[in-house]
Amino acid sequence: MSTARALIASSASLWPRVTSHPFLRNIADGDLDDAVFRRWVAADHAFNVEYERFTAGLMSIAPTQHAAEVVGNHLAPNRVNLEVLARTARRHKVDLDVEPGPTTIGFSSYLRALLTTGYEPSVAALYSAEKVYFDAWSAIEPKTNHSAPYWPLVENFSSERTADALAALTLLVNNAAPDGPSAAMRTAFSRVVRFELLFWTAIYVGETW
Amino acid sequence: MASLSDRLVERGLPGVWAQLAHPTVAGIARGDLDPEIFRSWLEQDYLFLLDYVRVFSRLASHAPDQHLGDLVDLAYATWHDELELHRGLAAEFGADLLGAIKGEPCIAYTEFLLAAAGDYGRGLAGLLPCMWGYSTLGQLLAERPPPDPRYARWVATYADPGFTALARRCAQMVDEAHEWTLLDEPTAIAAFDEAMRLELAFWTVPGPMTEAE
Repeated sequence: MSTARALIASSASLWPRVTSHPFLRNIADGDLDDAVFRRWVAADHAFNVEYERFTAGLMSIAPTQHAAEVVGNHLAPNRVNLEVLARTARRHKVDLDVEPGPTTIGFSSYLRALLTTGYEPSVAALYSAEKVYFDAWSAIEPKTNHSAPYWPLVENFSSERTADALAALTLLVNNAAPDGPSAAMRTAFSRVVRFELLFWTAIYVGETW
Repeated sequence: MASLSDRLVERGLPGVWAQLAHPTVAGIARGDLDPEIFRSWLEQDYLFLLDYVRVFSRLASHAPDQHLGDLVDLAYATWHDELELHRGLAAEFGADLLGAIKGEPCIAYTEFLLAAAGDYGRGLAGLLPCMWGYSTLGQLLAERPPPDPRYARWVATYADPGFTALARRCAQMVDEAHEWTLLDEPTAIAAFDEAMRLELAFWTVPGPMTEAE
């Protein structure tokens, strides 16, 4: 079993919670509450700014030029994500200049801290974040109404370009630990999946300080 | 009152004149540089740029929000535009980009920049001699482009308004970092001067030049 598959298998119990999360189901069913939509745009923008820093930091510690290139190729789609989120915010008058919630800060701080533990756990975390995102948005993309205010976000997160970047990242994770994932990689992978679920829940329920 | 980047650039002008007088640059300007020397420079600069991208990404990892996108764009432009020029010229000069090994000037310069990037302001100031220096050299050489079309293409890349804009943005970021107290002037001068020194040394490429000495 490849390292990427082993990581997914080790967090297999979490996967059904990803695709059945009420936040995603509401998006797919077209009945997402407007307040939740607004919290999502603001929280996702704040998170993606920090995620860009994490990805850049990971690129700077990549062990080979090839690894740096594959990781670096996630920076451009993230720029697009930020632009789509900013455009959506302008169109729907969502204030992005709000203090991020505790879960957003916790998630992004965890990723930044992970960089100090080295490349392997950090690349497992990047893979986890990208895999969860792509699987979640791809699952609901066919059902999502194209005229919904959040359609540009769903379309972007499940795009072919995202799929290509994820495929290259999968190979990179396999090469990072050809004999299988270390305990630190498994922990990082699992924590990111759980942080993602907490992030959606925080948006859904309107978490405050 | 002149900005910090204006003062650094003023300070760095003699360094640019020294680069212009360096046999490698002078040879490019005349268009009669020994292709073996340019081949070696191309290989060294390719290796330099691979680490240069890491310098941008390291800075981006602790950049203020207002600079984050610029640094990601700089990393991306270096990777896709500047390295593309090198790959394009490699075949024409018989350069072995993948098999090349860093010479001492390249090691010294990349190690300095990567270490400097651990401190945001210092790292930015260390970048300026390369960005501003190449932009300035490119514009000077473009006034009378070299007759060899390969060297003319190289000059055109660094004289390009897009590259000038990147260099200007880099200078602006130095000023903003100074304004936001992320960079004090003595630190900026020390990093800038060291990078200018390493920039000049980089033109003396391993192989054809050093073997002749």
